[in-house]
Amino acid sequence: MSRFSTSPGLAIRSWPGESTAAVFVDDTVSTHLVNEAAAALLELAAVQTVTIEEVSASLFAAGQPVDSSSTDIGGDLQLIDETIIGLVAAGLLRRVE
Amino acid sequence: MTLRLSELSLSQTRARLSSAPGLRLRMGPFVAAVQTPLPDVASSIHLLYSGYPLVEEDGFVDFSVSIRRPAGLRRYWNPQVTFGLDGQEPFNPLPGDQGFPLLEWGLNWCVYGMCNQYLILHGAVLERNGRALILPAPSGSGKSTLCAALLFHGWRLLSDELTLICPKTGELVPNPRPVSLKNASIEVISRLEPGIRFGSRIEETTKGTVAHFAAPASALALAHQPALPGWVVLPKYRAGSSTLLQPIEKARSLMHLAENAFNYDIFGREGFEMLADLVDRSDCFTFEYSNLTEAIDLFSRLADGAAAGVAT
Repeated sequence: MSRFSTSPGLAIRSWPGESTAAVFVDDTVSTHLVNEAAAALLELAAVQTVTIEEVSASLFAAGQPVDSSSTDIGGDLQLIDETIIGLVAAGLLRRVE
Repeated sequence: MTLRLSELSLSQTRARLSSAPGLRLRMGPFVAAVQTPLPDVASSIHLLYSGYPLVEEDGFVDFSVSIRRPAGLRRYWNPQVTFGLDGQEPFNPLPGDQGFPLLEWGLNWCVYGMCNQYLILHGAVLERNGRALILPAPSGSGKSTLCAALLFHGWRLLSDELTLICPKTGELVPNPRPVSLKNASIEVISRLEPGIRFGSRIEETTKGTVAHFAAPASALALAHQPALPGWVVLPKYRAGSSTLLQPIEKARSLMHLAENAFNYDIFGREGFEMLADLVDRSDCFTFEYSNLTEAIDLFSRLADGAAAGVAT
């Protein structure tokens, strides 16, 4: 089963009660707006590697519709990107094993 | 004893401007040495920078700039003006009557292109009760009109165009300069504040008709005094709209600030953290308006801590 971690050099800033968070990626010097589910996922993956099931559970718990049968986490983030808030870039997570 | 430009006569001002090392003016944290042989530009400088401190000839200069006629026959036929920085001419010449706007645009370019000791946003900044109101917005949003209206109603001008953020303290650094208005905004502010003395009205610039008025004396008197972040407000003028101030999430505000930053990429993660800290210390709103009187009243109440979610 694949495990994922955040890309190295990721900074996340979120505020209580808000539905979005800001993410900065050192490598690309880029800034992203993510929803709270994605922020929670990234914060989780920043401290430990996560599986797609854990990601799905995290997103479901936050009320985000994600295809749990998918094994392409980048695709899931892209789904959020295009259909939900349009602001999460694929590539914030990387496959590590 | 600091000498101010107002203590020089127009002829003395012209004399300093027309010869090296030029007229050295302190503009907030910066010193510019300005040279121009053009009488109309000299007159505008004398009027619109009259309250600014002069810097002696041996002092440090951040920018040495000039406004001149380009060489060649165009000096005589449809004369033009060109902006010089340290002997270079980085821009194409403009029509001959646009010397003062060109100087202002050139000085803005110097600040946002060279002064990376600050994180710089495209936006106006005002202060009241020690807290800064930041209005980040591109041209055409109504930012300058709103800024001009507020600075006559209890708000101190830090800048109508460039927001300077100190990386060490997160404070907003004043850089008060003549306030630029465009097109219909000139009449709107003239009606609102009939006592304002504008410089020359220049038509058919790349931004339409432009006119400047001098920064208020209060802004110059406190040009050394930064302000703490207080409010981030994303303004939008829309004809006929109600006056509407609505909270916006801090993360979204951060994205707007980043989009309106000139040198965010240079700062990298430090810039991200600076903007995150700024929105963290601020109340953040979107603001739509068409009625300046209502806007002035609403921002007064905002400064008094009572306007969130107000629709009038």
